[in-house]
Amino acid sequence: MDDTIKVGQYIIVQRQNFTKLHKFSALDSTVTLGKEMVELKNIAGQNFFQTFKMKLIASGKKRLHELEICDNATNLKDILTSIESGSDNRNILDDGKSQSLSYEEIINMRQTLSDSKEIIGTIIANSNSFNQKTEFSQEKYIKKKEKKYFEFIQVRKPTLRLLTEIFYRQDPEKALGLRMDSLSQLISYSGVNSMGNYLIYESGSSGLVPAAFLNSMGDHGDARLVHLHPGNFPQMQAVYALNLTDHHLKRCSSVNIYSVLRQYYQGIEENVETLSQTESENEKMDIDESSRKRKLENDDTEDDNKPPKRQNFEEDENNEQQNEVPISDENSSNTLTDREEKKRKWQLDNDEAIRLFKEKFDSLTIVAKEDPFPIVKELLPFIHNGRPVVIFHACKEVLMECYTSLKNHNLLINVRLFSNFMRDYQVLPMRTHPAIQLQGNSGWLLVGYTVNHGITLN
Amino acid sequence: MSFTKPERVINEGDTVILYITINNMHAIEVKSHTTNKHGQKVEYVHQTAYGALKVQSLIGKEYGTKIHLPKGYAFILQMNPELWTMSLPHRTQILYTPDISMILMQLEIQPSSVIIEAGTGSGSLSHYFLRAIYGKGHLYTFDFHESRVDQAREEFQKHGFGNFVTAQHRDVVSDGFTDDLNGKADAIFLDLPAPYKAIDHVVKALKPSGGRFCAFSPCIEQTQETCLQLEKYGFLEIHTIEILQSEHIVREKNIPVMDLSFVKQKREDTESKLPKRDEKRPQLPTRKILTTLNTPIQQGHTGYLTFATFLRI
Repeated sequence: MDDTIKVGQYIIVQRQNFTKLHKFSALDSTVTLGKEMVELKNIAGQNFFQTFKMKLIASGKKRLHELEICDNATNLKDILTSIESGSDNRNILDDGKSQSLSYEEIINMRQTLSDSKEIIGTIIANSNSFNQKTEFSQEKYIKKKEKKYFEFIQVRKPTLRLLTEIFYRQDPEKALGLRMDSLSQLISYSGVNSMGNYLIYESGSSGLVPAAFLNSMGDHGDARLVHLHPGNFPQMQAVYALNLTDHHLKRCSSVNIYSVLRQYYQGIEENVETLSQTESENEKMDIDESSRKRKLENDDTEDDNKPPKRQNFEEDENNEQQNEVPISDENSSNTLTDREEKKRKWQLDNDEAIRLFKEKFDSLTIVAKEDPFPIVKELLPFIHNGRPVVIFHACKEVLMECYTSLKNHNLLINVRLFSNFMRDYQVLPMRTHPAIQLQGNSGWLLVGYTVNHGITLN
Repeated sequence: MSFTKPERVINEGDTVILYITINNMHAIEVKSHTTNKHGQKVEYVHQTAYGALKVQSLIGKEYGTKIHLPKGYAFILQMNPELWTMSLPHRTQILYTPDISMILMQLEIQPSSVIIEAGTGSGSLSHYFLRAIYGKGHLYTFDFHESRVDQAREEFQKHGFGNFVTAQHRDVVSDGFTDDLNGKADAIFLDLPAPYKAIDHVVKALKPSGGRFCAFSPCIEQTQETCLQLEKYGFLEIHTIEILQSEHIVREKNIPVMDLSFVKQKREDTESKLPKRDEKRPQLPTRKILTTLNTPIQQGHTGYLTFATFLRI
């Protein structure tokens, strides 16, 4: 596989433990990391995981850096070996006087010295309590400073693992609180692999669920995915971030749930009319909500004053963009032919989805903010017997009620409700312990199997 | 053959799940005849709590179908790694779905992945790997217990994964992985008593560009030693986690509701209302609530999962 960084790809920019998803949209673009702005032109053609050194080229409100390829990132722990340390903290006083450099001096130094090792070395040399700290707390101190002055970044290839981590860390709500352990189990229970047809209904997971399915389906087998969503546009951010080939992406038909079901039950002719002219109450609500949400998301971008689009079922270029991604002008030049082109695309997607609805699917997965029971009830007729159904929800009560309804209607067997506990460990000789904090919300998973109660044997 | 992809109909030779209740599931191999303890060929009849099932009668039936037993009914489900993990014959301690799912996610397994696993154990994790890479990737799995390897190999074959797995008898700590695997693996998983003694073999077997690594250990000392070795060999993103899944049993409960306010007032006719000694107290009114109970015995620990990335720069 070609593992070099190319313009147009999504990349993950990592600075120590900080990671950011970014679209490398043009050679002369920049990425913002806190107060630092970084020019990206030198990463093109390099390998993923390459380390770059940020070199200051202009300072102002944001410091502008260019990137240099770097083969040996300095290990700041080396500083420690030459410094003596105390045995406990009996002589450490928190009087604010231990650092003899002033704030201004440190700021100034930051502009004259480029190497984080030098900066931190100077700070340490001017700290009169550093020598009294224990070796462990010296290490901690350096780590803290390193975080601030670390001038190396790596460019990573987006993978499902990294995306799940980034989404959950940035804002768990952006992906409905779908934590990595829950997502990983959702993939297992749904049985997705390179064979079979899969049906998902997803709303509000930033595309993480279809991304996970496409990732597991791969591009060689005959797996197909129908991705139902409630709005004008599917949320595809995580899907696009995987940099899949067009051929691979075509395995997924993202369709509006109302539109495709209406076409399934009522046929195609009147459908086209209803789409552009009248909207059902339900759709109206969804559209209002999604445009309001997009407005919120875009609040701090340069073109948040774009009117919310009302045309149905276009591909949404906006949706895939993160706030910091410069948004191209493609959207505004929405000529009539463009629109027709896109309309054809959703019509083709609908047709393909309906073909698969008729064939029936090999599993059903629902990850949504809505109450899942009415959805599952409508979608179960399209699932073969003996197949897994997986429902994720952030609220336990919703799934408890869903469980009762499924049981009362005899719709599924082997129904189980799960939650997860996960914690990280600090593993060091004589200092191993669970992490002080953990992510408390795993969300809830309801799993079961479809059955046919009607047919009898013997 | 029934593992590899979704099937509609039960075929002879499939291993299927006979689902009676949530706590009563049997894995059975669908075949018309079996041998009894005298070595004679007899019709295969499976005994359940609801009576006997002639296994041959399953052939040709649709999965998910209700089947009648002499004293009740059951359902037939297609086998999959989740159900297999719940019903497989234990030859060792096994890994379960929560840990396994995280291992697949963290090792970044995709259909094209080449995976090395040691040891094979009872093959619980192997089946998940094989489902994930079916059609394109390959699993190389090793165990130092010869008959375990033979049994696992036979199961893989029976379940339709034969072309995508190489199961070998080998002590990878002392002998390393086979030479043909040098620089081949995308991901390596170790569940060994001393994974830290095999890190140099891991480094050798990972692809020239690098790859992902996972070690599973129930004990913290082994985990600690593994982390030290990983650090020594220059692995990045070394990260140890623990996962516990809880099952919640949904129940409707009737909670008795007491009213104590009447005690504040004097009773009007004390004599007649006083319950006699043997008279039953009137039933309290109840309130219906929907709640969940945790299983009485919960998994408190499985093991520590240590993940890391290796890069050759």
